[in-house]
Amino acid sequence: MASVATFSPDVLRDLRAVLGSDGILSDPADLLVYECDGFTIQKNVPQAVVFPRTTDEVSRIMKICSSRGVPVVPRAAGTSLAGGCLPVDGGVVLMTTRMRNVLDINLRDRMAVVEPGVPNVQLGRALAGSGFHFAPDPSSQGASTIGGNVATNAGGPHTLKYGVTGNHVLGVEAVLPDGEVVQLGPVSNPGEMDLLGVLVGSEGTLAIITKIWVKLTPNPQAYRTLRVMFDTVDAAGEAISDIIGEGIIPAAMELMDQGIIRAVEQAFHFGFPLDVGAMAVIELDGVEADLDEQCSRIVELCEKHGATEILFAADAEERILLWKCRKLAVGAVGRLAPSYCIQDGVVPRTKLPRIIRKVAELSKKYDIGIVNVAHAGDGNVHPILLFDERDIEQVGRVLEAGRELLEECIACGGSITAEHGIGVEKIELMPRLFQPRDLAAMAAVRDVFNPKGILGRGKVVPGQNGVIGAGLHAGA
Amino acid sequence: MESVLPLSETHSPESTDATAQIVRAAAGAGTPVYPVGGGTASNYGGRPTREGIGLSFDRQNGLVDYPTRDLTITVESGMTVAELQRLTAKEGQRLPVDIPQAAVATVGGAVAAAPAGPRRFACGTLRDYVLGLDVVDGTGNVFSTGGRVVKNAAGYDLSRLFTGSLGSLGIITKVTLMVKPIPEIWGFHACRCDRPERLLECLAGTRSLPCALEVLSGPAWSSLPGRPSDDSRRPLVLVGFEGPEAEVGWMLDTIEAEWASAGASECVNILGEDADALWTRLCEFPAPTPGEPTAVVEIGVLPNQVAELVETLRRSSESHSIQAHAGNGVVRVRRPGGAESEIRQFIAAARRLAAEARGRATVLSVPPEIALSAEEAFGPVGSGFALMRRLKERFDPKDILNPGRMVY
Repeated sequence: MASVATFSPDVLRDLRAVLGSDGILSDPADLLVYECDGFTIQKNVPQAVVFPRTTDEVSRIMKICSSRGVPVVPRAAGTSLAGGCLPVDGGVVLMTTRMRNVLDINLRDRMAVVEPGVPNVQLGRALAGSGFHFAPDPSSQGASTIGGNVATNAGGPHTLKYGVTGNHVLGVEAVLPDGEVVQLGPVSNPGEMDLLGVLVGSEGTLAIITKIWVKLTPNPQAYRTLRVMFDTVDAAGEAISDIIGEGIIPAAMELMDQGIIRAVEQAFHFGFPLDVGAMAVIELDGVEADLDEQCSRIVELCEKHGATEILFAADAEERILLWKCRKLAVGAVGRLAPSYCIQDGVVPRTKLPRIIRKVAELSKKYDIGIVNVAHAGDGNVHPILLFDERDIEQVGRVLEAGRELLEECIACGGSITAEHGIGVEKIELMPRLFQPRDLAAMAAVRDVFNPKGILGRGKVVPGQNGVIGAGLHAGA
Repeated sequence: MESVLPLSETHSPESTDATAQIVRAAAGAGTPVYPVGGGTASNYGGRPTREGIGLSFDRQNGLVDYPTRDLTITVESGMTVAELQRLTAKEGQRLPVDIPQAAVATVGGAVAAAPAGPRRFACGTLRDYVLGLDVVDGTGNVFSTGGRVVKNAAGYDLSRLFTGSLGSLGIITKVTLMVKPIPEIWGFHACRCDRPERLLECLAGTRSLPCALEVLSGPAWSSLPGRPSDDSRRPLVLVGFEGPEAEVGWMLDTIEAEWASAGASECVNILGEDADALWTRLCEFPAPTPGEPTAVVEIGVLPNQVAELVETLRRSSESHSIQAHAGNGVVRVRRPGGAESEIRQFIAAARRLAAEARGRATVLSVPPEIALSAEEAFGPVGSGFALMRRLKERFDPKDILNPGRMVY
């Protein structure tokens, strides 16, 4: 086991004293489960996994680990696609999965209070019938937790109209790496800098979030959901760009290319034509009174760009069916290749056609199958690279193609990640996106919150404690 | 605008690098640096006492980039908010944040002070619109935060740190903002009532989608645009809507019916030019009126506490005017200027009320002859205070950026 941290037996003993023996795993067979998250390319086994139930337990764990120099990585559902939960230096993985209570739902104030381990979908279920929902709906929401959503500033298809997780967080309670507990929000406090805003999206490298006050959004009265077929991805991209340019902000605009449409059709038999160039799922929501007007403008713009077929969901059932083909898309990819990697890049929305063309070029250049799903309205592309992980040479090409794609995103004025975060996956690319002085500012903030570098080591900001990125693998 | 800042001289650098040079020199000498935008927030925060250099942004006030179909815009800090709104309005776009004194307030200053008005209910605050900044810190280091795209998960969102930190950690020289389409129309439904709480509760289950939810009381609201003066002793509950015409029309009808069944009477719709005038009054409420000294305190509580707090404040004095963003738990009280002891009592009373409600009280402005410390302006230390101090020490180790205004 390539673990760097010193982990003397009394650390285990002290942790056990806080948590009880059923609150801690230290047997090697048990620890293997935690060697990686959704980013399976890099693995490393921790030395212990702990399961606190309260903020106080989290605080005491951090005090023990901080005083002994034991690295800690927070983890909930482990759905990170960037290695955010990778225990780079071994140490302790701190699970928030036993902190999964919805503490309060306050419809009057349009807020809810949750523990970090509450799965996004569980909060959704708790709100069913209330007339409200929690707007951020990342594709991982069936498993990913609110704490994880906050840590990664999670997105999803509806960010176009509703924003990202950070726009829906009113307050947090957090445990700092030294064990101090802070509460930021939910009450407005102009005299306090927006530390809450800094914690959102900090990927578990600044603090462990132990309670979240979230904003609740009223359910839309009505929807108009369309599925639009185009001959080419370019045409679809131009139509989407035009819609935004007209001042219409649909709730969602999702794009799928031929490769993924074929996979979905073969898996689920929706009846899609297999030669269609691209498919867009566009959804408007709001009050009934104006939706038809906005909808007909969208139809006009789609037709202007040569839409070959436009289908409307006639009722709630059809709406779910229309969305199914998008929501199952990634699941269908499994039939295309033994392994796949979902990339995450973002460009200014008008550059979307250009980046999708680049993906096609890269597919040819590196001889890798790539299919595309995109949150097109936001310029956020998710090319899915297909390969066989047993073929090391091919894996090398996949990584190169991914890197070149992200370089193109940078060249377009975009970013190397819109939603998935940096984790360990993209830490080496941070100097491509940011100047050294920008990274120094981030490092300064990290040093304020996490001066000993105990928490979330080797992630997000390069150059911590001499650990740049992670390349450790289980097995000595 | 008369400055209350202790300035020995003022410079007007032309660029970020020129700004950095001045700051570097000042840091070496331990001389304070005070960025000055439109001067509209000069009476906000602690009153600086150490003489220093003023930095004007009137030569860094240009448009940098405006790719209109990306719905993002990058400007230099010194551009006025009004100019920003003019540029974006030409493209049918806007920054949907209410910033007082827009003709004078600069974009950089607005980001540093982060005011927010009624539209925060549906549209959020500046923190939700700042995509990236260029910053000069207290050692003259220059760096950028964020980027230019609306979704960006790369690294820490440091734009959030500098937004609302009153120039204490760094001087903002460029701002990239997200903008949104301008709605087709806007309007209000307004009702005078003795007990706003009943209407607010009714609003909790409304089928409409307000963009603003205000409870207003006092002399400033004794009449509404286009209406004769009425009984100013009764508070006003105001719901704002904006969007396509059919949508706004439907929402006004809906709220009227909902409130009628909650027993409301004397309700009116306010549209067109009257609605424009009302938006202006709502947005400008916290701003001082020239020639009329005022003090404004803002109390932050939970939304369900707003009605009771407004009632308590109303009863404490008839000369106070109140504006509450009822859906966000923000209550502002404005009183005419007076003797310093009176103003300090007013602040202390607000602070007591806030403490009883487990909220926070912040002084937004005082008459210029009254000098508050940062602690008096912002109240006792909060949970994040130690972190703020450490951030200040990292980004401004010599304590030259707006010393004494925010971090104490």
